[in-house]
Amino acid sequence: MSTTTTSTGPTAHTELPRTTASKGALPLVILKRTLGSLFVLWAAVTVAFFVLRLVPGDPVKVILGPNASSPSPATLASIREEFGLNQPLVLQYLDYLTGLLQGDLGTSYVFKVPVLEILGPQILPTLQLAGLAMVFAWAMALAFTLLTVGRSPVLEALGRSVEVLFASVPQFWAGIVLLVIFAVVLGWFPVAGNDGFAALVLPSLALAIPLAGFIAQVTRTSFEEALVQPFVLSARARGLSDWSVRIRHVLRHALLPGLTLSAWAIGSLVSAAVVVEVIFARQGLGRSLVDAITSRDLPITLAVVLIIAAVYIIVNLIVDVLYRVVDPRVQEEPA
Amino acid sequence: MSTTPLKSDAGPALRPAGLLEVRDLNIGFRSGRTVRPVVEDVSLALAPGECLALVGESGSGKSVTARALLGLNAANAVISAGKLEVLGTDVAKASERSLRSLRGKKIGYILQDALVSLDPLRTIGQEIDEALRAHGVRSATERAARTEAALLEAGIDDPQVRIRQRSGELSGGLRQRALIAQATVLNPALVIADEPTTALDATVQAQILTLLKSFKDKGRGLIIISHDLAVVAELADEVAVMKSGRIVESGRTAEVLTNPQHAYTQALLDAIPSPRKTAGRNDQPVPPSSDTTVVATTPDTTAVTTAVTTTPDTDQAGSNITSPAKTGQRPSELDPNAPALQATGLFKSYPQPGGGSRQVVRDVSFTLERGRTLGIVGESGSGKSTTARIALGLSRADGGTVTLGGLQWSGILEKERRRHRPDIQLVNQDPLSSFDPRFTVERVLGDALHAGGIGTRSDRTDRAAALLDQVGLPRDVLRRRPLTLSGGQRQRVAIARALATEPQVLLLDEPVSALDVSIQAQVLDLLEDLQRRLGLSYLFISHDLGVIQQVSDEVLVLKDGQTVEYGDAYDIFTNPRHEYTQQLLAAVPALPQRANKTTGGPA
Repeated sequence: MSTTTTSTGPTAHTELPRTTASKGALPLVILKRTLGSLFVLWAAVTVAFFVLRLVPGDPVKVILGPNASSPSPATLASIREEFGLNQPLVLQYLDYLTGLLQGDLGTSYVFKVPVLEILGPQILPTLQLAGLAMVFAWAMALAFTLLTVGRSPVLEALGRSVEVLFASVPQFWAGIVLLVIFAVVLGWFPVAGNDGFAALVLPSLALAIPLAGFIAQVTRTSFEEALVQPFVLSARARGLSDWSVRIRHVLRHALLPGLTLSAWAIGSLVSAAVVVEVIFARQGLGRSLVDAITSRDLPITLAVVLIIAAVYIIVNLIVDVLYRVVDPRVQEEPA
Repeated sequence: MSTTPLKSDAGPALRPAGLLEVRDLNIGFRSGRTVRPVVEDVSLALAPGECLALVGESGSGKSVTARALLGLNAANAVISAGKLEVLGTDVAKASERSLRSLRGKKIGYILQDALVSLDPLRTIGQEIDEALRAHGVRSATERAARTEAALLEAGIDDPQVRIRQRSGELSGGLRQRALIAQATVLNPALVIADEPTTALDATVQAQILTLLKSFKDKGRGLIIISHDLAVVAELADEVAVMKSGRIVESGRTAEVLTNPQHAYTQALLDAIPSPRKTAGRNDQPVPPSSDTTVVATTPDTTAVTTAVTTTPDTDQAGSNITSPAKTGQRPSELDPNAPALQATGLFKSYPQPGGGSRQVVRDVSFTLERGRTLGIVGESGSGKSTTARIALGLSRADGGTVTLGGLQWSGILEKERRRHRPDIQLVNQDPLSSFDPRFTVERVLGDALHAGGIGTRSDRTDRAAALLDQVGLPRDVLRRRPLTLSGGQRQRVAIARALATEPQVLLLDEPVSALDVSIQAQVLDLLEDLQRRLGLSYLFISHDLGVIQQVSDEVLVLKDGQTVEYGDAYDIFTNPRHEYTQQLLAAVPALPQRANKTTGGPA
């Protein structure tokens, strides 16, 4: 009867889960990761720089603005001179890199001020948005997992369906529905703007709902797997309550794949922020990016790409550290 | 005096002071509308300071019965009982809260494999602490002191170091002790141990058995679940033999094991590996291509029909066996007069994480003559597996040479080796993981035939079927996938796959360690029969001395990568010269001599 399945189960779980975490002692890993990160940043900047230059159209027209009517060749030349556009592309690229190393992200074509002055105030709101969205997503995912996995078939089915529903909701649609219900009809939250925490709730939820669906699907699988492990039986045989077993033992095992997913998700959250920032008329990197792309403001576009890449790298590093906290076995070299 | 035999008058015979009283326990598992019975009419009793053993093969309902005593069965379990009272608590009716105060505090439950039975992410100190905390020990200093005491009691000498380690960082023995410590830290009156020594080396097993025995002296009641009758003989006062959810025989251990009444008990006893009866096998070299007429592989009809009705592992061999040795598709270039496999002065070391290196194999030499079996025995870490990898040509030795049938086998390019790979094949402990789960058995065998360059595409199905005949499996197995086969059937398929390339040497790495005793006996019989018919040479690796003793002509005992003893199996087992071999042999639990081995049971 049970002979057909016995040898497949428990043993698999004792092996290290497949992770993005790097092996070895923490300081060494951070060092390696940092060096790797610098390379990734450089690659992101380089690719973005050349790709954006390949886009047809003359940057000078953008700099002059839509209202400028047939400028004289002398004006064009002086603008080219001013923005360094008269040099060969490779020199422009090297110039840009040198500027970057000195903390200079260039000058906006549209606003004619340093990029950092425009983007600086936008960074924090977007990070707040993405951060809170991540918190909401995890809270929802954990609630689904703890409340529905390994419960009655009805609850299991309910949990599963809600997860699929959440995962398949587009962010802009979630945003609009939330906006209509909670801001327009009920009036619990402001309709738009950047004022304080209350204005942050609905946009974060809009971002969090699909992500919660994804994370919950991943944690559900690993939670189910951990729940049938012998160490869970051992813990229950020690006299632990169902909730203690779930929270102290099973959950920890279930967190790992979700963490990996989060590292990826935070990067996509920053870019997905565009949608909700537009819907809720919020300040933020996302809006700046959209504006910059439509107005072909290359320095700003490039800077946003750089910032997103940096966020992505930093979050991955944090997740790598968190991984060690959750699963101390990562630290050890395999014997 | 503690177990109530099923048939006898139940109630009055029970001692009121008993730790548990179970009468007519029935457990079933509900799936959909139907309830599948797993345990039927089981009655048990146990007095303090005594040990009761539940014996039976996998699927017999032992573990389900034990979990019912703690109220820890799966959610879909349907339990009914005339009486289910443990330490004064009616487990069948008790609330979850009162069951929780029973678990850990009054009943300690020890599971089989500590590597997975302790949370791999937490230290053993945390695990033990948790048990104390769950039962209301508030003071942190008191918990720390009791944790340390529990580890000491479980025989861990340096508790201060160990509490900070996780189960994965401990050796098998320490891990098992830690598992025992977390179950007994609250000094429970009843300890249930489910296969407490199954995965352990012989000497460690002996230590754990001594530890469990000491529990009896402290007045604790002990229930052990085991399929190993030798362990049971060592520890139990009472034994209840379970088969298909029922107790078929019960009584005092000495009585049941020396004078078994039920055919199933006899079959279990017969299935235990026993040493070759004579030393004579050495003097009868096997003719390599003997045309011996087919010998039925069916080992012992009683064992098959009575012991394994739950697993469809019945032998169907004995008919239409074709020998691939006779069809002789693949010309072998091995020298028929040279030893099948010979290793001389093997050395191997692995680099350590912190620098330096660890010597795993040190000057190991052996000769495997054609048609014979060389058993390699040793505990984990003794270098068995590394030696095997070198012999297979999968790992390069730092020093020493290997020859296969007189041909240079080590130190040559894989390209040259590949031509002769069909001559030496491997059978693993766990065949399941060595099969692609999406492949049918036909495809598994077809692939192996293809790899050996044997047969044409069109006749591979016939050849695959012939291979199944050879290992005693029905032909309809061809269309099944490994996952749907029983453990014994899977191992037979693995053997068939190894035979597909018409090898001369089989490397058997713990081939029966994952199997129940009666299935184990059948597979060993099959191997012996194949050897006789096909003239195969076996390099047989096991940690189980009983198995090694049964199959081997010569034995190589390894310890810490070094040869401790090497020579004729009969000599070594009857007259071990080295202290370590003596220790190993002494550590094997022995069965009492059976009085009436020939007396038939009621079958």
